[in-house]
Parts: sequence; structure tokens; C-alpha cells
Amino acid sequence: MTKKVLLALLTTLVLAGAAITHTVRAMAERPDRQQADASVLVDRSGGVRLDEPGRLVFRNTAPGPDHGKVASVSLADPAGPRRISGLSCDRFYLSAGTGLCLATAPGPLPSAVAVFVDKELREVKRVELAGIPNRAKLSPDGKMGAWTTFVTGDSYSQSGTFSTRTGIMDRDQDQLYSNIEGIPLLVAGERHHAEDVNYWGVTFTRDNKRFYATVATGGRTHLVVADYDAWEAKTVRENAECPSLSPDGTRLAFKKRVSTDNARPWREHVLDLATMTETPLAETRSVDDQAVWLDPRTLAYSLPNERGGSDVWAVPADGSGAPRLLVASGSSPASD
Amino acid sequence: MNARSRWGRRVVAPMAALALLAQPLVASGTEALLAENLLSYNKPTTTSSVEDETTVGGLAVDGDIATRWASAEGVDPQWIAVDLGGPAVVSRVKLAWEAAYATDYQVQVSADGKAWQDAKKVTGGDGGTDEITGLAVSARYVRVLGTKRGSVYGYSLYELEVYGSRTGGGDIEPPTAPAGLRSPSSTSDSIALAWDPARDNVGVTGYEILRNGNVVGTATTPSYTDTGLVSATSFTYAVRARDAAGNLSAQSAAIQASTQQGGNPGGTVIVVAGDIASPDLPETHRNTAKLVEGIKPQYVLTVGDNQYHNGTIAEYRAHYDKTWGKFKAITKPSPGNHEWYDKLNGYKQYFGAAATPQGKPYYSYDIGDFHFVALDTEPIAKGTSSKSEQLAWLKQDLAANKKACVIGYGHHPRFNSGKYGDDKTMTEVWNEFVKARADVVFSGHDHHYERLKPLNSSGKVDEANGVRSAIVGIGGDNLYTQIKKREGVEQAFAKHGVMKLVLSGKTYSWEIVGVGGTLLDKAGPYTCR
Repeated sequence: MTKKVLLALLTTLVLAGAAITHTVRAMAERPDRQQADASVLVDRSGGVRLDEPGRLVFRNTAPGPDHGKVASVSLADPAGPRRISGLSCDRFYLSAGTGLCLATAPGPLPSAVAVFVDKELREVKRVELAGIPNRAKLSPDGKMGAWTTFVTGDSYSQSGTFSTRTGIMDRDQDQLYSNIEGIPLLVAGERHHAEDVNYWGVTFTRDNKRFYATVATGGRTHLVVADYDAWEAKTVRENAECPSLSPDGTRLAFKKRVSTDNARPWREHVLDLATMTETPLAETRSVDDQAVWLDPRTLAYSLPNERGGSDVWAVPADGSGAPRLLVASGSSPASD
Repeated sequence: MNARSRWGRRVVAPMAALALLAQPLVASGTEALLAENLLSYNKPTTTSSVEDETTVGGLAVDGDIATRWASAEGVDPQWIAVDLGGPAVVSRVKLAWEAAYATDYQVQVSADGKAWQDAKKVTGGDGGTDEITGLAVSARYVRVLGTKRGSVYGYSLYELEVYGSRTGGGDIEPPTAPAGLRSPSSTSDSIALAWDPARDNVGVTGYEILRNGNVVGTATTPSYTDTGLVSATSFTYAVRARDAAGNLSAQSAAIQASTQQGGNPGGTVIVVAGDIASPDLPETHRNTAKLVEGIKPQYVLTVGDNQYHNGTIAEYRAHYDKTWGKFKAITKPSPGNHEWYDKLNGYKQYFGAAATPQGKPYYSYDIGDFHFVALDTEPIAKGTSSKSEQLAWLKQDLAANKKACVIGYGHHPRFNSGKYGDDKTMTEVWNEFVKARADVVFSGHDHHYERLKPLNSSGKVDEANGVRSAIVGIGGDNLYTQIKKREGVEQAFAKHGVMKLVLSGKTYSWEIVGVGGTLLDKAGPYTCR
């Protein structure tokens, strides 16, 4: 297979553009080489553990030597002092006391590494990947890991295109599917033969038998549900990206493209899987993230801040209320 | 996606281009008639940019078609310049483009490397090899200035060759061409060469040895032993002489020489490769076809994506047929996903009865003690309705087999360290081969070479119950270089070439031979299970 005709989707361009802009800016300014932000309180009395109840784990984005490190705050007082670990990631996720750290790796071509860590953030499994880190998620039991990177260089035929690479690691079976784009796909019930398929943003069901994800093909994005054992995916609806299943598996948070304004195209929604009705959330800013469920009623996500970093916000999952700031200078929120 | 023939094209410089040149650049008639020599070989280069340290300018003038210069991506213009070492009359420039070719470019000349004048302006180029002849311009520096890219990437040249004759600046007289080239002896992986010394007005300082047109070595005395070669294969050799001033002689008359039989004398020789003929990369499948010619196999097995982009009959005729088509009568093909873009119509029409010898695009046959199974994996990978029928056939075919050795081949690999990774859709196929205690499975799809230890149904190394495999998607299309080695990988690399498989009794072995004839990997001999 070759000459992949890649998605020319703005969706992905925006995502990839953001990732690359971020990388370029990071290299130019190196937030980890800047002076530490004195307004960010740090608790040096304890380390970060993934099995400690009542903690919100996230990626620290405050400038200074701890930029990019996995950190945690008390969920009861998220604005309080943060504990900071020695583990650096571009994207982090936590489930059942297991962590998944997606980090940039050195190499002549953009490379990444997906590292599974235990409750004390010790490495237990490492997978080398191609591309620039983008999304990382674990199944509720922590046994299935999934990630998305951005890769370039797949095509000589189209200009300005990027491609996603999404992989799944089955820790129980010790099976790695480093690129799921070969999964047989039904689009609106029809067998799909196009080569321009790109997946991103995987979320597993509680029994690990199914997963949801976004697929782009033929200039459209679809929400798909896939049967892991049978290895087959089918589209569910259009325009629902970066899905995130609720703890009870009945609802799906996702970002929906609501505007052609590429500066702010997204609105976070929740889809009721029984009725397939969608509810826009009270967050009206453009959320470009795979949101996480802090509890059955609350979603958390990151948004860019005015300081060139990002903050973690939360919003009710039923469309009510208003967004509230959880952690300043953070991204990749996760809690068990 | 149109089928285009893009090689063998010659771009002749119109006189108008020469008239544009100010300065007395036009050489006199007598000078233009001087012997034409390669002036650019291993001369200093300068470039506007390089993609990385593996694609520097010198690689475009090193006589090695496996290496190349590549500019930074996505920015116009870009250029590469070569310093010929002194004043010269340039008569011809040859450009071998990689897939990142220029549609618009200028060939420019300069006396000082600063002020450039166009010697030829090309618009609407389509890559492949451009040969710009009929030039007669004085220059010390020659530059190729790319102004419009044919891809989203940069500009990349396998080779930039400038021909002509030196006109001043010290010793400009090249040595005489070496004569009497011969091959006194050879082994299974080396060929000894000798020739009569060349003469020079000052003194010959060394010789360059070309194998299949590619510089493979240098010698200071008139003999050379070419090593690391594939067995029982013939190669074309030529040598040229150089002097201290860097003047190169014309090439000697070419000779053919062969390596000896390897460990399996009298074995059946089979070539295996896939992912072959891309309209965008005419050079590479022409080069791999040359390897097949040298190997002189009894059979050629293809592992799919034989013809890009859609495997139509027009594409097959315009590309594959011009190179690998020579072996059509001995080819036992299998189709890939690209053949399926044309619903196998082009594939079936091109290969005729060989495409469906038993009525389907999957089939089996025996050679000696070996049972071969050719699969059509795309319907299995896509989960189409014909999948179960083929799997049932495979099961039945393997059950009915009486031969001691079993080799399977098809497009999609089950286990893979390349771009596509392990393929869950191939689980049932692989498990059938495991159950049947098959010996080895060859596939393509990913564009690299990979040799894997015997793997069981779970993809774990299992010498007792696993099946050996290799990916040979190196027949000519773009290579995939970001290999992340999975469990069981014994060897992996991204280089164009073919597999030479040798069957002997109940044993088999293979060599991977790279473009130019270099031995890249050696596997076996293995005894059938």
C-alpha cells in the first residue's frame, strides 16, 4: 500500500498545526528553561502516586524546570499546591492505578514513545512510535492503551496534508496494533475501500470488547464503534471527534465542529448513546481535547491560556452550569 | 493518477537558450567535438539546503544510484551546484530525480560560482531521468535550480551528472580508457577483475569500478575484487581511470561476469518481491528488474501491488510491462490492494491465465518438494464476503497437500514492524499456516524488508510451532524508513531490491540483493519442518 491519499481535513490540519506550532514554540522558548512561575504553589512534601484517592493528576505546564512533568493536586482543593513527579510527558492518562505517558522521542524523523507506568510512575512497558504525540487514553481497567500521533511524509501527491497514526496496546494479551487504519470499516453500512482513512481519539468500553474513535475519510469525519475481537468498525454518526465514554458507558463526550472559523471550530457535546441525542455543554470556548470524565456528572479538559500555556477546566456533563477553572498551568487531566 | 511514460525522454537545449547567454560562453566547434567525459563525479557540491545528514549534496555526484541529495521540504527555490574543478565546456547534463522531482527548473552555469546564467530552462518536467543534450557552454560551475516542485516535499536527485571536457586550469587531459577488462576468477559472493593499465600525460592515480553502472569501488592498481555479492548472478562491469587532477577517462568496454553457485547447487532459483512499479518512480523498478535479469530465476513470485496506482491495464502496460514484464512468462503473481482499486481487471487482463490458474486470484502449485500457496489478501483484509470462501479453500488446500515443504505468499503481512504494524485481519490466514506447519510466508504491503523468526499464533517467537516470515515490499515503490522492530525481527531495513530464494531438496535459503547487486541479507539454509 502506498500513495496514501491523505485527509485534507481542516480538522486534522488544525490539530497538527497546533502540535507543530507548539513544538516550534517549545523549541524557541523552551518553557522548561524559563524561570519557575512563582505564583504556582508546589508541594515538595510528597510524590505523585496514581493510586491515591482524591487526587487529580495532570501534566504541569507552568514554565520552569518542571514543565511537562506529571503532577497532581487534591480534587478538593485543585487550586492548592501541586505535587510534581520526575516523569515528563506530552500527554498523560490514568486509569485503575496505571498511567500512560505519551512523550516525544529523539530521532531523525518525528518519533514518540508510549510508556505504561505503575502506580508509582515506574515504567512497565515501552512502545516506540512514529510521529508527534497527540492523544493517549486507557480503558477503565487500564489494560487497553490507545494513542494517536501525527505523522507527515506519507504522501507525495497532496500538499499541506497530515496524517494520524493511532495504535492500541492490549496489555493482557501482549498484542500491539501500532496502526489501526487497516481495520475493516463499514461507512453507513457499506464496505469502505478507500485508502484515505485516518483514525484518532480511541475510548474503550468497560468490558474492553468495543471502542469508539473518530475516523476521517473522503473529507468527512465519523464517529465509529469497533468490535475489538471481531476487528471491525462501523460509523455511528458524523461530526463527533475525540470521543470519551462516561464511566457508566451510556454517554459519550465529544467535540463537534460548529464553526468554519478555524480559530474556534469546536463545541464540546455529550451524546446519549441510547437515544443518540446530543447536548451542548456550557463551555462555549473551542475545546480541542479528548475530554475526561472526573465523575458521572463532570468533564475536564484543557484550554489554552493567555500565557502561552494551558489550564484545566471542568464543566457539568448535562449542559447546565458554567465552566470553572480547576488547575492553572496544566493539561491532560485524569483521575481514577 | 494518469499512466505516463516518463523515461528515455531527452530534453534538447534549443539554440535560443544559448543565444540568451551573454559573455563568450559558446564554445568553438572544435572544442565541442572533444571527447565527452564525466566531469562532476565526486566533485565539491554546494546546496541551498539538505533534508538531513543522510541526504547531503555529495550523494548526488557519488555515482551511487542508491543515495541522493534532498533539499529542505516545502520551500522554493532550492538548488545544488557542482564545481567541475576548472574551466570546461559542458555538453550534456543528466538528472536522475527521486519522487521529489522538479516540474520547473533551470540548469545554470557560472565561471565563478556566483553569477549564474541559464543554459536550459525546463518547465512541466515529470521526474524520472532528464537528459539535457546539445549543450555547448563554458562553465566551471553547474547548478540545478528548482523553482517548482512536483510534490509537497523538496527537490531530490539520485544523481546529477555533468559531461563535457575541461578546457583549462592545469592538467585537463584525462587518462585513456582502460582496456582488456576481464574476470580471472569468482566465488559464490565475489568477482575478481583485472585490466590493462591506462595511460595519462601526467600519471594515472587510480581506477573506479562500476557494477551495473554504479560505482562500487576504487583501486590504485589495475585489479579489483568485488565482494558481498549475491550468488550465481551475473553483473555488468566497467572501469575508468583517473589522474591526480581528477580527470576521468572514458569507461572501458563493459564485460559480464558471474558469481558461482552458493550452498544449494542445482537448486531452483526463484525471485520474490512486491510493491513494484510506480508511475512516479520509473528508475527503481527498472533497477530491480535488472537484478532479476542477473539472477536468471526459474520463477518470479510477486507479493502484490505489482502496479500502482490502480493496477489498470494501461498502467501495467506503461510501467510494469516495460521492466518486470520480461519475466511475465515465468511469473506466478499475487495481487495487492492497489490491483483491487481496479477490481483486479487490469491484473487479470495483464497476467492472463497466470492471474487465475485455478479460476480464482488465489491458487496453489508444487515445485519439487515444495507446495506454494498464492493468496489474494485484500478481500480478507477488508472483510468482504468472499473472505470465508478463500479461507475455506486455504484450509482445504493445506489439508490436501502432500509435499514436505509449504511456502505461502500474498500481499498483507500478519506480523510487521513497519508503518502498518501487526495486522489483525490476517489472523485466520496466519493460523491456518501455523496449523499446517508451513515453513515460511512472504508478503509485501509495507515498503521495507523484514525477516522474522518463526512466530506462533500470538506473534511470539516459537521455534517449534511457529512459522517463519519475511516482508519483501522493496520492489520499487517509495520506501518506509521508520521501522520499529517487533519481537522476533532478525533483520530489517528500507532499501530497494529483490529476494533470491533457492530451493534444494527439502531445504531453502534466500538472499536479498539490493539495487546495484549488493548482498543485503542472507537467510538459511533452513530445512523444512
